Amino acid sequence: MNPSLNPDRFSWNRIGALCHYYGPRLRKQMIIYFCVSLIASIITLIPAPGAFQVALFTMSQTALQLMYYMAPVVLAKNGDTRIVDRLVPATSLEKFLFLTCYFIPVTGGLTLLLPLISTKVYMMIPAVQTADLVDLLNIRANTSWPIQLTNIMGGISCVLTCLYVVVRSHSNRTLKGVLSVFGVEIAIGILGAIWGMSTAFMEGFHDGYSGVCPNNLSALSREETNQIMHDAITGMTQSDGFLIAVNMIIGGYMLLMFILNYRVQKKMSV
Amino acid sequence: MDIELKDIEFSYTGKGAPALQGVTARIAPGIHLLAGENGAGKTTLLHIIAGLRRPTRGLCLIDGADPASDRPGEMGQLFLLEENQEFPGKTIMDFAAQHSRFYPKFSQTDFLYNLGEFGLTGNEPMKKLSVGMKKKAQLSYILALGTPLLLLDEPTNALDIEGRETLRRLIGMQIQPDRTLLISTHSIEQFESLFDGCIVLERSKLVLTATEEEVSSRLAFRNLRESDAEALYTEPQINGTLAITPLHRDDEPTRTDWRMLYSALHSPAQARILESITTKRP
Repeated sequence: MNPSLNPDRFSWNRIGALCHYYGPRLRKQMIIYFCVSLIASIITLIPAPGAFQVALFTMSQTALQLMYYMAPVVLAKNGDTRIVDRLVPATSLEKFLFLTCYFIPVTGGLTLLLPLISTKVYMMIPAVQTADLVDLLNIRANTSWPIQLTNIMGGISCVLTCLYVVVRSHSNRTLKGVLSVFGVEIAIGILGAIWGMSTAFMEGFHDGYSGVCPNNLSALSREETNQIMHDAITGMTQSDGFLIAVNMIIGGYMLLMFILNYRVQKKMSV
Repeated sequence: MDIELKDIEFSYTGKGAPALQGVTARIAPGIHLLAGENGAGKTTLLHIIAGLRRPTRGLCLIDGADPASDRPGEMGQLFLLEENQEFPGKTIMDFAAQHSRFYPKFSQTDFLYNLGEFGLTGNEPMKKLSVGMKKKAQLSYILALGTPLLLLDEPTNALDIEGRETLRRLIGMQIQPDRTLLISTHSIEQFESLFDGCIVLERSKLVLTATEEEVSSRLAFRNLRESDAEALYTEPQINGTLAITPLHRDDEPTRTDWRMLYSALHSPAQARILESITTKRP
């Protein structure tokens, strides 16, 4: 394969060559991510006392998500390689496509697919149908698609921000990449808080909690508690205007990060 | 490869002082010295030539093409090695195996030869190499890349005396006349005999661009026993005076002393030196 063939047009051959070029740097990460993902999947299937199992599951999920968001930090591992990376004779589009494909679907699949499958398997085991974790998984599974879309776009935004910061930064690239993920997470959190508060104030506090004293929550039956949690989450989505606005903001930011990541390949900032 | 710089101006902040202004030059194939004091704009100029930065104004063309054009065919024609640049990969051999596939003219034979000359095998872990050894490994590789244009920014920094001598020898051997090598360095003496021309920057502006032939046909570099009223620039020594004098029609040309020329261009004699180079021989 000679990547110099077809020198000025888009070339899949060159993307293949980019895989070889970046491969040694990414191979180790792929192995580690797969192993951690496997361990997290096994943790999900281990029977444990209710609250402990939920805590363990939540922690492993959070860890996996953070690993996914911060995956681009691997590019900072060998020090400042920006010049040699930028000089590689491939178009900006080819480099952009390779990096975004690796860090979004490939790393995402590698990190989150196995735990997703394991939870589906877990939910099918008849013996565990009374477990707290099943309730949590059921609530997650029943979350409406606009909310899931918000989550997916938020996650992709984190990855793209981290990638942009790592590729663009001159120094402390790892630290800046990590901080950028927390920055986006906090921003999305603030947006969610505004959304929740606005919904509550405009639509009224009637999504399951009305008439229930928080101290008495423990006295509620399992079905009642689940219904309250489900209503609290889905209640927010009933406010279409806010949901559309939030999705537009996060979607717009994600699109902006796609453009910036392409431009950073095109315009050097050494 | 021919490099053409047309009224290049570059500013990092847009409003701040320009890092380069009014740089116009034509650089023909050969080995060229890029000299200037710290902050003169040498690295910025190398970045522009490498296509890593676009000039704020003006045009940079390499064999008539824009190096910042995002065309792999043109990007593959050049390589830049900067000071403290890192190459990814466990060893230089690993890196070469992945990276060289983009450069069809890469010579594995030259690469191994260069490594041997620097006393390396290529399988040394990069993380364990000293800065100087890492530089030797990088130089071994990029000299074998076969790119028609090679840009080296302070290549001798961190190299030991033997390493510098090896580098000079390898450049002399492997840079063919049709290739262009631009060396930005403060260790001018190291490559003294190799330079075919020079580009001298001072405070973001181009002071001189000239070929060895142009300089040696106008100026003579001598060691004088007695003072010479005609001397344009002098440097007192223990056993005489190093001087730059105009070369007269009957005079035997001397070898260009690039280090002394650079010093002269950064002294009050600058105007006289430039006048002598640019005006016709008496």
